[in-house]
Amino acid sequence: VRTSLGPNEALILSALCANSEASVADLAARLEAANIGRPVDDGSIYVALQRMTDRGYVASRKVKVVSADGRTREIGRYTITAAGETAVTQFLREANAVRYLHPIVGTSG
Amino acid sequence: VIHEIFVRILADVILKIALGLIERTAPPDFSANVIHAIHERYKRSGNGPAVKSALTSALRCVLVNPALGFLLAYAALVNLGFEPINAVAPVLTKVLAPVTVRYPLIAGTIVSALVFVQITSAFFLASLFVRIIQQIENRGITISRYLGIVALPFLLLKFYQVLTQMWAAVVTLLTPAPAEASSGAALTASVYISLGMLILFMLCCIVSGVCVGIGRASEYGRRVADEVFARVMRS
Repeated sequence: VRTSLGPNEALILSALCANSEASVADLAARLEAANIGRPVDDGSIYVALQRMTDRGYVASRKVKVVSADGRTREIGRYTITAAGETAVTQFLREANAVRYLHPIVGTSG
Repeated sequence: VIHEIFVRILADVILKIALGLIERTAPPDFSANVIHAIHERYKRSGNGPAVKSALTSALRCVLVNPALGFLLAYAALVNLGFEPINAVAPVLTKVLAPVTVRYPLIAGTIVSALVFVQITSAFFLASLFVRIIQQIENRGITISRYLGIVALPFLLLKFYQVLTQMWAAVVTLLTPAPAEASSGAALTASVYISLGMLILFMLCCIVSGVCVGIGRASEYGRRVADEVFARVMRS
């Protein structure tokens, strides 16, 4: 079982850290606002959330919402767990190590 | 301005098709979350980013099992739905031949309408079939991916047949008829003209979203399947 996070998973968990609860749509808006330089589609966010739910990094509950097309849908609202916070902290530590070790990034940053 | 309007309409049509694909192939939880998010993205950033996200998500649905199996089984069944009309095509051609010569437009419309009914009923059957598979899979039995593997050769063969038939029709249309052409050859040419019109009609249906009928038939098929499955489970 893989324990380290992928880039998308780390981004999503970081976005969840800043907020108590978020849906796929909320997370997509936050990632778009963060301007990470590449698009992250809604399907990828959902799949990453499901994967992290299975690994215990994220918890979810169902809520009913009315979408823009007027239809009521049952969507998930996600929160980060303690294991998720540990995983994102570990990811940050590794990212900082990359920054420290990289000859270009390390000297400029 | 016309260019902008055209691009906007095209983007909206692509978005609708992608959302329809997600709704019909993805598991319900995926489609609810992702379709809601795509609508929110549309409100926030316009149709460009929404279309990109919808297409990528739709592609994901198609490529990830068991959605691939569903889609292939669905497409295979739709193709099977064409078989009955292929069987009656020679009879239909004979009956329509006199009409075709005099009134090619009416003949083309009649054939188009018949094929449209055929496609709609095929989609109804396909949806019914797919929904039953979904219901079985929801109980932890995986069959869709195996169905997909079985359906794939049939699907490829069917595409090959349709392409060769269309190519033959195009070649016949483009070949100038000799001056001493018999009435039989003229008849064949007229039938091919109708076929050409039929193909155009089908393309228009897809592009302009007239396939709402197909959507309704699919929805009805799903509802009937749910009802049938519920009765079977109760009994």
